[in-house]
Amino acid sequence: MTTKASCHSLSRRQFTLGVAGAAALNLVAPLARAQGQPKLLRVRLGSDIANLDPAHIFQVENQTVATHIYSGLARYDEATNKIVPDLASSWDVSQNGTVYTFHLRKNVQWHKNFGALSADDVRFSFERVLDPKTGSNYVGQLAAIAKIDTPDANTVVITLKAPNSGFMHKVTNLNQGWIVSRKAVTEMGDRKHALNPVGTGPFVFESWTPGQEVRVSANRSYFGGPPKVDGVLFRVIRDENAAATALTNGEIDIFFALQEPGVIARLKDDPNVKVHDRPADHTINFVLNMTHQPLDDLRVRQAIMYGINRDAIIAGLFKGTKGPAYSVLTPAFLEYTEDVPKYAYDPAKARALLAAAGQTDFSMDVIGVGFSPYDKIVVPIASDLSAIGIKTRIQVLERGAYLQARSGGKIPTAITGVVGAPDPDNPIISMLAKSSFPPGLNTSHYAGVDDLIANAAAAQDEAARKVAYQKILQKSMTDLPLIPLYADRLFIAHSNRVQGFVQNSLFTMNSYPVSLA
Amino acid sequence: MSSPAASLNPAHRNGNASWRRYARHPGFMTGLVILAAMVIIALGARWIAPYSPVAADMTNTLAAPSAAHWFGTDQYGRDVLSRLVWGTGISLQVAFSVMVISIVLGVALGSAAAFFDGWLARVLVAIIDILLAFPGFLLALALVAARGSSLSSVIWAIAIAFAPRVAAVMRAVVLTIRPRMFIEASTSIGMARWKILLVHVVPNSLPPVIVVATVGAANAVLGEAGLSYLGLGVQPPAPTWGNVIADGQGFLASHPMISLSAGACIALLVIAFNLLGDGLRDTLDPQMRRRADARTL
Amino acid sequence: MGRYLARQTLHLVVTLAGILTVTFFLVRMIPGDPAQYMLGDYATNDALAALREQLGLNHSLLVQYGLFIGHVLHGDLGTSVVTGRPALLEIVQSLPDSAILAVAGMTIAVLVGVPLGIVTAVRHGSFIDIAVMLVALAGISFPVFWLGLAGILVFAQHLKWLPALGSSSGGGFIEALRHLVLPAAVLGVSVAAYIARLTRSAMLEVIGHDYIRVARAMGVRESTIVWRLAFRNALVPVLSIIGVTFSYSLGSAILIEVVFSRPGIGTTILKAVSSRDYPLVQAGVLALAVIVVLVNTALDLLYAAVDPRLRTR
Repeated sequence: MTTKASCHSLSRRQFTLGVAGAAALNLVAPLARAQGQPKLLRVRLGSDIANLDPAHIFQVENQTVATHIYSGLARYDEATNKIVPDLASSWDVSQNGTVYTFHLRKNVQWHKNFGALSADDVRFSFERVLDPKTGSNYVGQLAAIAKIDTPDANTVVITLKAPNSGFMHKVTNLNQGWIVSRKAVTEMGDRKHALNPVGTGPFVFESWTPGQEVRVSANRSYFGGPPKVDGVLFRVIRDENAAATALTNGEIDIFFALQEPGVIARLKDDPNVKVHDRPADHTINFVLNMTHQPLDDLRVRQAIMYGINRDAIIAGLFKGTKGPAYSVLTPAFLEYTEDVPKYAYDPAKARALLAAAGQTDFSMDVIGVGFSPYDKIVVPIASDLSAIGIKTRIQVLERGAYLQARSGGKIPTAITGVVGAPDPDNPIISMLAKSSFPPGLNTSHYAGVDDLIANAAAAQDEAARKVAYQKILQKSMTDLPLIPLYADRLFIAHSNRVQGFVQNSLFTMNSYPVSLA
Repeated sequence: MSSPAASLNPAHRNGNASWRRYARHPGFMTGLVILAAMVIIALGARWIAPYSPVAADMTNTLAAPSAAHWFGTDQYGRDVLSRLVWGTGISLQVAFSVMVISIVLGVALGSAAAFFDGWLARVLVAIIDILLAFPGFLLALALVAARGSSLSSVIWAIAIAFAPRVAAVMRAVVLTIRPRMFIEASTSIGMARWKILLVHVVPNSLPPVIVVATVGAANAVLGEAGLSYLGLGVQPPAPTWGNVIADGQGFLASHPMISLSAGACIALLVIAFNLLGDGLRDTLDPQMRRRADARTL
Repeated sequence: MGRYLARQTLHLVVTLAGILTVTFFLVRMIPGDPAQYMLGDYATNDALAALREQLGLNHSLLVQYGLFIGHVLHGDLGTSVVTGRPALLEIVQSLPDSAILAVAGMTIAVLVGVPLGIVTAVRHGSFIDIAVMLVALAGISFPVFWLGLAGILVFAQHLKWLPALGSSSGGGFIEALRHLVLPAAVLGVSVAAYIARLTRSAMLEVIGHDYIRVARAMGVRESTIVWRLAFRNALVPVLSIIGVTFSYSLGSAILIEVVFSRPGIGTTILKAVSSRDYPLVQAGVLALAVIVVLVNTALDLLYAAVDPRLRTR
């Protein structure tokens, strides 16, 4: 009997397992993790990045990382949203308002030794977005451009087809406004550059571990002076409770995209944590497909507007962490006005409207996207609409399926918000202009304000602009292609180690002014 | 007292599995009682649940447990208790459907693999082995991703992922019974092989398969919960227990009752199935019975 | 032994080929396509068509299958649609984290579960047996992600003994270890419950045999009976239990990774599924299935080495 040998071999096996395990940890752990840098800022992202190419970039995680890496001709001041110089130290507008001359800073260097910034790079960046072969989402943003000239290495002259009062918004440091290096993009190719970007910003892209983290390091030769931290580590932590615990335990420094009301309350109570909040540049809207019977009837859309108790949703579901929305613009916009048709919650009126329209018995799908910040809102919407007699069915689609359904243009409803710059054209053109029919965010197929949008672009001064946009808001809130549900508020929390942080309204963040105590 | 030789006789097995043996087994009876209670709750959900499981109430979100709401309300103001009550039916539906489907598929595949000879059997055995190589939950996940998230696709995904395990058990059992069956069959008047399979082999090999099936039911409840947690299960606002845990996860620190209570419900049902399985195994396994007697020596 | 090895190798090759085929068709069943995901909200039909052409999605299924097999034989599992890097590389890079979790979890599970299984079998019917088995029953009945959430609540939030995240970001070996403890413990405890129950059954089975009764009657010491007779004969079933629970633990590991925001192959596969990254889903599912097959084959060889009777199957 070999009992003795087996007895020993068993315990030896377990022992070997233990030793092997420890050895593996020893070997792999330091290799898998770079050594912590002296002043590394650790920021929480809610989901992973996918694409850092300015022509295709969307979603706030991508935009936040990109904010660290790229610059634009101009930028928004983080606190005031004023448009101030970035790569262009100054610019002139011609008398007739169609010629913009930008004077670039001198000696701005691209990351990773790709040379010096020149006017040609600016021209390349914009022409690239406009090129149909690129298939950029932001073609519409630069559609006003007639031609781009570069008389010398530091001057860019952009001629517009017609005067456009909001043109400067289009060349700020967001999305299509980010300038890329001709040399880097042509050498690396679009796809490679999208995940290994080269920019002129305060941080240099270092690495991306899919699903886990993104690392950027300080750009010592940044034209505005080097950042005060040595690098930024963006960690993907989906669950907000876990992220909050990580913040209070000191595992992360800045908690970006804080949205859960319970977590907000918890962090507000913590003396070692500072919570910033301000109104965002976007509203969340319930978009109705007007080609889908019976949503083509204005009375039905009005009924839906009267039938959703938006104030209760803000108080009950969001515990007061959102603001009321009366149109697609929020108080963060210069062009904001509350002088629009208002619809207070009135279920009796809603039912009367439905009866008048002869629609007392129709059913409607309420469609949401799984794992998005907006997947919660479908429940109270469906519940409220059921209460006024509309048979609702909730469909939470997984993101891929949702994108497919939306681009097909056949879904009856959608929850849409246009996150980004304090440029009123952003939400208005994206959701209300004919040029944004699917594929695009105008799933209502609304075409009622295109001429008003053109008027607004032609406006000569701030006052005229305000009046023009007010007309757009009034018309859209009369026609009701969409129901504004709430105006978003942005929350960011950070530990007391973090100094100098300024929160913007764009739903991105910039670590440049931040230092660590 | 049963002797080892007698316990090999399948007829004996059936004879000894009288219900009195089950009734004396405390684990089995506990499991049965729990399961029966759950079935009653599921059938009577409409009358037992105090509120509708999907009616949102924005004025009373995240309420703490109280007399009006025993487990409080969730973030939409829905009564958690009512959601748990209605969720019982869904979990039972998943458990029993998966059990039935995986038994049918697994028995067919496993007995065919064991009963026939030659290349057909080898192919079937290879299929079982290949499917067994995929971790069950992963296979179910991929299947649900492929077919979309609905109750029926979740059931089919989990059932298909579990069927190979039933097949493996079935095959092992049939392989042990097969020699005896052929001796009997050779004396019969040329009965077709598949008839022998159906009439003799399958009924006699069912006991171990039923035990595996209870494991499958337990797995199904846990699998549905896991898929819902990942967002791939039955979609909201369906009140599945997995969805309730997922909904409550965001409020774990402030309102742990939501996720905790749903988790407890899942555990209770799974415990019931496991107790049933243990009880069946104990009562049907002759060696186990002999062991109980052996201790008195 | 030689013929046994040859048969095992053939079996392995056939199984791997089968896994490849099943994975390929399984993944292709997932509706939607990566082009839509990559281009997002504003994708024009032209841009979609162009990207699909570029990604090779326009061939017929059988052609794609043929190309796939051809590439696999050259060690090429395709390129991740999202990152543009080789799928095999992505998987291999996410394996170490999962491997560490799986090894740590299984080690805890075996170290806790096997001894408990033995003790309760030997003390069959006693208070210890009942108590431990009740705990084990609870362990296999609570969803593993629920246990993870409870663990975070108790150990990370209330007691603050352990971090809430499943992985560290720099800080070296000790930090990495601290972040591993809770996820590995949760996984380990959950699997330990299974192992304890199965080991107990296997041990009881063996203890009931005649030769044990004979040994007892002959006055052999109880500890000798337990360790040298019973356990050694239960060794093969116990090894097979470890093999089976290993596959189960991989499924649980996916949920653990999500609960603790821990990187690894589970997170990679989930993300790949949601972005319709076919090559990556394929490579991930394949990798896990292959690992299971290799581990089981190794165990088979181990049994055959331990018990010659098993070689004539």
